[in-house]
Amino acid sequence: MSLLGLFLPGVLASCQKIDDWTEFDGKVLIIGAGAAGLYAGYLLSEKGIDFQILEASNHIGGRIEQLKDFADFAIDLGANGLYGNYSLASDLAHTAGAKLVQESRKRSYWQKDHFIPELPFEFIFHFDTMAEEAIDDDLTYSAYFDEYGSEEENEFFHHYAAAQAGTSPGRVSAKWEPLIKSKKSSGNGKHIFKKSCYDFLDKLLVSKVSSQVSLNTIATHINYQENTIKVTDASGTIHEAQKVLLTVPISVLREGAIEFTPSLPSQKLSAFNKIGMDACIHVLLKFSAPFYPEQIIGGTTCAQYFDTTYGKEASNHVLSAVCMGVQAEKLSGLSETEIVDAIIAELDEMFEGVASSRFQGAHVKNWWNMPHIQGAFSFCKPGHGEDARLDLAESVANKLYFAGEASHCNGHHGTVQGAFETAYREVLKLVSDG
Amino acid sequence: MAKLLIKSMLLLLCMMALPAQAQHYGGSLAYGRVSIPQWNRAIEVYNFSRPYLLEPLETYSSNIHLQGYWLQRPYEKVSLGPMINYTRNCLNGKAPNLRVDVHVQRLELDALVRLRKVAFKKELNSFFMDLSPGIHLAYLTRRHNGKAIFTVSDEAILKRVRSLGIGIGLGFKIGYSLYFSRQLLVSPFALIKYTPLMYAKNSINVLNQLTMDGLRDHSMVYDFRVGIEVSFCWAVED
Repeated sequence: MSLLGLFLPGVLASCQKIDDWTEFDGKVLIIGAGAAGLYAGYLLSEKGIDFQILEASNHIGGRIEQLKDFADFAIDLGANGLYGNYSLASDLAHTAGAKLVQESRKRSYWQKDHFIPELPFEFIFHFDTMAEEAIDDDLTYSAYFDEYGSEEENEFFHHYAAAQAGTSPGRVSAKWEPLIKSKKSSGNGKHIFKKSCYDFLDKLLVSKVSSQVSLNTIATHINYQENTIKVTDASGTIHEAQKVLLTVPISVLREGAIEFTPSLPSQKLSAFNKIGMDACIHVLLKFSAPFYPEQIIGGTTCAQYFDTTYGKEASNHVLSAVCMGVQAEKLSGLSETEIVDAIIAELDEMFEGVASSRFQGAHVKNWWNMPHIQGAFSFCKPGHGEDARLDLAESVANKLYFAGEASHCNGHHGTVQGAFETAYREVLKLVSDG
Repeated sequence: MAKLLIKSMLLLLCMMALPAQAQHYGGSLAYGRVSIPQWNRAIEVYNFSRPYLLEPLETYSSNIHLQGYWLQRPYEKVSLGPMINYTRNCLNGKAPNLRVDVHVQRLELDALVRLRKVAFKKELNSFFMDLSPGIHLAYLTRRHNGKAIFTVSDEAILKRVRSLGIGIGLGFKIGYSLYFSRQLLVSPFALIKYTPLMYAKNSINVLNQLTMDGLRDHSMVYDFRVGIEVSFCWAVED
């Protein structure tokens, strides 16, 4: 018996092919046409499964969006690259023939009132060892840097470090964010699209699923009491399916923009609140001539500026200011003109008035104000690590499934790669559940 | 695990150093059907998630084995010796602009115990049975468009996408030795082997570029091989 037990399970498992799992022949409703929703739709279409995508906004792409008429090249307003060269997203980019450039921007660090050539050693040291040192105390970045002795003058860099996680230093966990991010398998280098991130999505996915996307269709209520799930949209139309895959941002779920009957399990509702997602404003500034380095780190109004034309074929000069968390919330209270003025004022302080003299125009993308997105991307709040993301990823009654970057549990949250991976994880689960 | 490996290697070396009454070198070529369920599942998930593959990545199924061994007391009912076995596989997949190759190399270092019903001197053609516990290693690498993949883990450090698996295996083989001369034997055989790879960090990541599927890195390896063994004997007592 024990010998058979050793041999048989594995041998039998090896006989079961993945095609045997795909017995599902009902209809799937996907809520959200972002990276996760589009990839899920693509997989379902390839498997011959009936599906429909309900998108609340008037365009496809979610947090992948491009601006075409601002400069002589297409600009990504949201996700603009891929992390690492070893991932599903990287393979897709290769397959779509997209060209990528590994980011290696020359950085300048603004410390209070002057530029310094490189980051202070103690900041680099503490940032590198953060995960190990914060392992016992679940601190925020701010509390961590206070406790482990990074100087006050480095506070601006703390904002930059937190902005990489999509928020501010007082809100992100110094334990969980680096710990979970360290699990990512794709490699660390960031790769920028020579054209645009949206272009690559458009080439490979949009063309295959766009006929199944219903734009301006805001799902407001999901009734999953019966075998047939009924999704009601804002116009009162009822859409029916056997499975529903939710790919909307965690901020939308947390807000309760979609009602569920029966209510979602308390663990699921609690997970919505355990995962962070903060404000983000992306300001594009066009100048007559460049005067700025490829990347500026450490601003008070905005912790990170970068040359938008980096890696692109462009003759225009565009600088991006990406504000996250508290910095973005402060700017959000202002009009678009006031936001641009605040950014230009900071650049003038850094470059002795050159910014305003060369300024030609601006475009402001406030992701926080987008009603169906409400922020940048997910991050780990203190006290909540993988558990919250695992709870979010858990399906409900074999009828409701949850994908999207926030439900990625192994280091790719906050990335396009994470969104793709969760989409295929859930499609696999969905068809396996039958 | 590393300590166990070293101890086992030392044990094999000790066995080789024992005074020999005879020497018996053998080699074999075998065709094998292999089942590594967890790895194949990882590959199937990889293929499932990438419908754009023109040719899905092959699952691990069959391969050719090369084997060498050395036995002392080859004509006795029980003979002992070290055995080494090597296999190499290349699993391929194709997408537009992308060719994927996963190379799997397996090395088995076994202690071979050969049992015969009667001493070989008395009956030239005879059945034999081998038991071969040992240390098994598996090495996985991946190439895209013919190039090894490095993930940059730091600005100064390049980390290659690869995995080394270690496990303890047990083989059971039956064969029939055909006498050609006192020095040459040819033996058709069949072998089954079971190897739990208890440590194979990153193997799922090499196979499907992920760490998120709940697929475990450790895997079971089930081998079934048929082949021909050719042995050369030099009997000291002769």
